This record gives sequence, C-alpha cells and structure tokens, in this order.
Amino acid sequence: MLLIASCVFYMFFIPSYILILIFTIIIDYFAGLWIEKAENKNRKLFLILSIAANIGVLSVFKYYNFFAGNIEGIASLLGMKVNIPMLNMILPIGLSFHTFQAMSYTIEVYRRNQKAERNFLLYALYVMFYPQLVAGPIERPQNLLHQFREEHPFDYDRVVSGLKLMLWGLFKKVVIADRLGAFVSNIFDYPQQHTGEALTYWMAIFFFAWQLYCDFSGYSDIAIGAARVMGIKLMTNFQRPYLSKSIGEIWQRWHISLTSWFMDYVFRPLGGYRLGRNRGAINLMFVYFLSGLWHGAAWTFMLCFVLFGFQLVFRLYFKKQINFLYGIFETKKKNSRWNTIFQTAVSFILICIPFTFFRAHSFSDALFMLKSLFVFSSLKISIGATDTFIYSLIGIFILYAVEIYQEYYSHSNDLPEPKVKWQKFLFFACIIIYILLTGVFDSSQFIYFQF
Amino acid sequence: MKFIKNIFLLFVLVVALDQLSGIVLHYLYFNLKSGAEFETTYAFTKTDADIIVTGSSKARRNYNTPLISDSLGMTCYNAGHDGQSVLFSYAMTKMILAHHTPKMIVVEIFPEEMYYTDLHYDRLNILLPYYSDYPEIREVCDWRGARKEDSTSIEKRLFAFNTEKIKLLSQCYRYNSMWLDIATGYLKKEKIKSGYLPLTDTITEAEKNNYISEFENRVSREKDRHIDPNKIKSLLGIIELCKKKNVIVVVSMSPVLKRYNDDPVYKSIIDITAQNNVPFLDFTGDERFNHLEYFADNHLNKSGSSFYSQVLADSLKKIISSSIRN
Repeated sequence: MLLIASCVFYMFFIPSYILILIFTIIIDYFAGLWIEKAENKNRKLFLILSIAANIGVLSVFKYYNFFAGNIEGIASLLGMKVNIPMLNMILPIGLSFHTFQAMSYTIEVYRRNQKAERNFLLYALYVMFYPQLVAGPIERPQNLLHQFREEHPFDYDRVVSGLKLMLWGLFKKVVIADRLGAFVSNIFDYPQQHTGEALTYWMAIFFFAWQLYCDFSGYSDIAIGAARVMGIKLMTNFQRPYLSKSIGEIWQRWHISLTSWFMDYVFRPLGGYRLGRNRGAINLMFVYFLSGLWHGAAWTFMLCFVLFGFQLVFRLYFKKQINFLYGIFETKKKNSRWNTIFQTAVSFILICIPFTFFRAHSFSDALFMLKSLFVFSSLKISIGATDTFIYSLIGIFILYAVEIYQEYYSHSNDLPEPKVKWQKFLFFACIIIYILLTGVFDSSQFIYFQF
Repeated sequence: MKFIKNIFLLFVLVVALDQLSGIVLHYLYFNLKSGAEFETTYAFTKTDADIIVTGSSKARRNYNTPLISDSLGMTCYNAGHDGQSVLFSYAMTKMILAHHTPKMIVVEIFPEEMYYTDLHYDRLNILLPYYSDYPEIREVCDWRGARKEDSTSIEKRLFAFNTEKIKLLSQCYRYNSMWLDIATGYLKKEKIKSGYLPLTDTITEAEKNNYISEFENRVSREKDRHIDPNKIKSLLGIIELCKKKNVIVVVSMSPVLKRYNDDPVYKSIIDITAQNNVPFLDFTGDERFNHLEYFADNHLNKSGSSFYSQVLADSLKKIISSSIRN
C-alpha cells in the first residue's frame, strides 16, 4: 500500500521518470543479493557496479550539461571550438536524495552491517518511501528497512506528535521561509540596486540563511512527522543548528543525514583525522567539495561548500587562538550567557557568508554582494515592503523563541505548549489561523527539491 | 476514538476561529478610511471620475492625474497599483464598470508585465477580500489557482489542481498577509486625492546602467519566457467591456529607461489595438523623455511624470475630440 502511494506520489511529477527509479532499484536490489553471496573480490566488484550505476544515472541527469558546458568553456579559452549537444530535460525529483539512500544500502550490505533484502517490494519501498523521497532525510537501511516489516498499531501519542511536527514544519516553511524569500529575492535577484547599502546586504545574507534553514528543516519536519504518523521513525535531520557555538557544531546539527552520510562513507574511509591533522584537513576539504557537487551542478554551490570546508580547516589549525578570542567574553561563570550569545552569533555570521554563493545567480553576483557587505556609503536598509519585513521579523522571533525553549529549557524537540487541555486546543487552532493569515501560499517551492 | 474526537474538536475550533476572524477582518477591511487597502476599495466601488488610469506602479507613479484633470477639464483618478499587471487592470475595469461608467479608461502597459510570471498571480491576492461580495472579479481570482496547470515547477506538478478554491473556503485566507496593513490603515490619516503617488529621487547614470544590466541578466536567465495568454485575454477583455459600455479605451506605454525594439510585446499590442480600433500611445522610445533627470528608477519621478502627463493629456485631448466628432 505504502509502495503504491509512493509510486503515485512520484508519478505526479513526470510519470515516465519512475522508470529511472525502477532501473536503479533493480540494480541495487540484485547488487545487494550478489554482494552478500559473493566472496572477496567479487563483493567489491558488485559494489562498484552498483555505485557506478547510481553515479551514472546521477551524472547523466544532473551533471551532464554542467560538465559539457565546462568542457566547451575550457575549449573556447584554449581557442578551440567544441560543440557538445546539451540535454534538454527536467531533473528527476529528489534524484540526489534517493540515489544516496540507495548507495548507503549496498555499502552497508558490503560492510555486513545490513542483510540483503530478499523482498523486492520492501527494498523498493526503502528507496521510494514517499515522505522522504524528494528531499530526505537520507536514511540508512539499518534504521528504515526493518520498520517496514513491523506492525505499527495505532498509538495516539505518536500520531499526535507526528501531526504537531508537521504543523511546525508547515509553519517554518510558509510563515517564515517563504516570507523571508520575498526580501531575499529582491536583493539577490538585483544585487547592484543597493550599492553602498552594506546593511541591506548583511540583512539579505542573514535572511537567506534563515530562509534556507526554515525551508529545508520545515520540509524535514513534515517528512519526519508524516512518517511518524504512519509509525515509521526517520532520523533527525536538523537539530537547531543556528544555536550552535561553533562552525563545527553547526555541521553536526545541519542536514545531519547528508553530513553523516559523507562522514560514514567518504571521510572515515579516507582516514578521517586518524592520519594526522594535514591529512584530516585534506579529507575534510574533499568531503565538502563533494557536498557542494551533491548540492548542484554549478560552481557557486561548490565554492559555497569549499568555503565551509576552509572554515572547518581553519578551525582545525587555529582552535587555541579561536578559544582565546572567545575567552574575552568568558566571565567567571563557565558557559555564561554572554559568551554563548557571542559564540552563537559569530558562528551564525560565519555560516552566512558562504551561503551567499548558494543563493546568488552567478559567481560575479556573489562576489559583488560579499564586497558590498563592507561598503558603507549609507546606513540605509532597503527593507522592501514594510509589512513583509515585519512579518519576517515576527517569524524569526517565533523561531528563536521556540528553539531557545527546546535547546535550553525543555531539552527536547517538542513544541512549547500549554498543559491544560482546552488551552492546548486553542493554542494549536491559533497556530493554524496564524498560518492562514500570515503564511505565503503562492508559487514558491522547497529549495531542496531541486537537488 | 479519542483521536477522532480530538481531531473533530480541533477542526470545529479552527472553523469557528476562522469564521470569527473572517467577520472581524471583513469589517475592519471595508471600514478603513485610508491606506492601500482603502484605496483599492475606493477604486473598485466608489470612484466616479471621468477618466480612470489603470495599471501597475508605472500607472501610479507616472500619471500625474491632477495635471491631466486640469488639462482636460475632467476629473481623473489614478487606480494604478504597485506590483500589479494587466490582470489586475482587467479586474479593476470589471469592478469599476459594474458601478460607474467613466468617459475614458487609460490602460498603462509596461512591456515587461505582459510576460508570464508567477509573481503577478501571487499578487492578485489583494482581490481575495472582494471574492464573495463582488462576483465580477472571480474570473481573475480563479486564474490565480489555475495557472499552476501549465507550470514546470515541481510542486505545481505535484499539486496540479486548482487549490485556490479550497483555500477560499477559509475566511481568514481572504485577508492573508493583510492584517498588518489593515491595522496600520487605521493609524494613517491621509485621505484619497487622486491616486497619483510620485517618486522624488533622480537616477544616476551608474544606477541606470546597473538597472539595465540586471534586467538583461534576469531576462537571459528566464529560459521559458513567454507572453502570458491570460494577460492578452485581459487586455482584450478590457477593450470589449469598455466598448460595450461605450467608454473610450486608450492603451498607453509610458517612457522607460531603455526600449527593446525587438520585444514581441510591441507587435502583440499593436496588433490587438489596431484590430480593435483602439488608440495606442507608445512613449517608450520617445526621445523627449530620454533624460536621466526625468527618472527615479525605471519609473518617472515627479518632474518626469508631470512632463509626461502634459504630453499625454495633449494626446488624450485629440482622442476625445476625435471621438466626439465620430
């Protein structure tokens, strides 16, 4: 039933694209069985075949035009004329997500952490489970596959908590992210219109960071909540990253399913930090380069993630000096409030800067914006429509209020809510009304659907 | 059982709160005495001017209606609305002609607005408060939901049905993103004058070049750029409605920073106006306005709009007298 629902969901997009998915599912299903049965070298061979098939599909649909364009560009720089035909097709929805999920299956079977799945339909459901099919979380077979076999009797608390998580995800998406998007688009689409207004550019990069977070974590919450309603527990994908006190911590809390994927399947197999600091730095840079490539077939994405990599490498080499700087705000009381605020703010600002490349339409636009952050010809902030700006600020305030409550008071992911039953009803009804009154119900889509 | 009972209770509470908030917001919205919402209601339901200018911010900023009024000896109201397009002008024309027959309607068209963009449909949300009381605008409101059918974006393919009608079951949704404006509308004191809202800045050469290069970059990024059939339908609809009511209709394009002669919009507008025998006043390439001091951005500033309105008034005078002769 779930598999049929997943197929129907996927086919709402471009029906024929389900054939691509079926193709990789068949390959990975048999690869899993063969890897389990085979001995020594053959195991590796089947794993390579499976990974090559997945990467092959990804390369054709996602990266072909990018590489072709770059080859043409390089050739023209060398004075040669190369004309490579381009593919004119829409990227299959969630391709990078389900490809990575499929690869984690064969890798885990290869590592003998997971038994090969005999039931083809169950394996197909593992790849296609519709709440996380288009934008993750990228699951691991050990966590997900066995859950499809188990009975999930109706559990009131579980269903209600899933619905609450979906509501909060919807709130983050339509009330905060899409509202911020209006302001962000105004600046990023026309970067040169605000020359000299450094504060406008700072505001734009901050707003984009919040927009991206609310957009993506909003989707993750909806996916995790929907799965929870059905009795399936998906992994946490975001753990309040903007309350982190360091860049490193942010990446432990941001898009956890992808970060941990790269850590488990690329960083650690390459040696991680075990082979010394220099090798660790190289491994880190490689992982962040791949992460950029995963995000999109554009140099702006790659540069964005390479910059994140540089930040982490810098931290690796200058941890003592950074801690000394943070110590300025240290008071007698360890983990004082001011120190926490300072570290959180610095980490947030540091993460915002590379995100400029993520959002900018081109390399030159991003560079222009980054330069403009320090050109204070006037102290003007172009806020665009005042109401949009105020709705955005209210949204950010609510986001921080909820997350600070979760992080420092409840130490859980539950929403703050009244204890008395009728107040609880009123509270959730008011959230729904606020979404109807202030949410943006227009043409905007989830940013991460494009990957 | 407990779950069904609680979900039902929550549903009832949401519906009750939605209806209650809808009634309160309806009252507050339609009793505003100033602000953008009040001006929209005024233009839709109360304006009795002889000449009405409709369109986007181009209309609102570029048409000095008091000056046009003085030049022609007729009352003139500027019903232009920031961020809107000819879709809105069509709804506006329908609403105005339902309660009043002006002598002339001037439809300002900015070439760029004729292209398909989701934004113009998104911004039609300002029509939603009128949805139940004014059936005239429902056709345009329905386009807001229906446009998703021919879109290429992923969500629109996933939800390729008209969700607007479902959303409109909510009373609150009709006032979506408006509560702050409604609240501040009660704090504003300015009264309706002419609808004209001039800009005061003057563009520099560098700003002009930036504007043009960013515009050209954006156009080059839009691969599926095409003239929106609904906008053509809207323009034809305005012409047809005006003809039925014997109202002179003039299509006008005010000056722009740069004219793109190969833009197919010009040919479309020329064809439509010629076929329907409607005067088309194109000032986009008029050398008289090719001076930076007339522009605030891609809109005219106060001095530019005054000069333009004077030139326009002379043309309108000729159109009125020729129509009287006929």
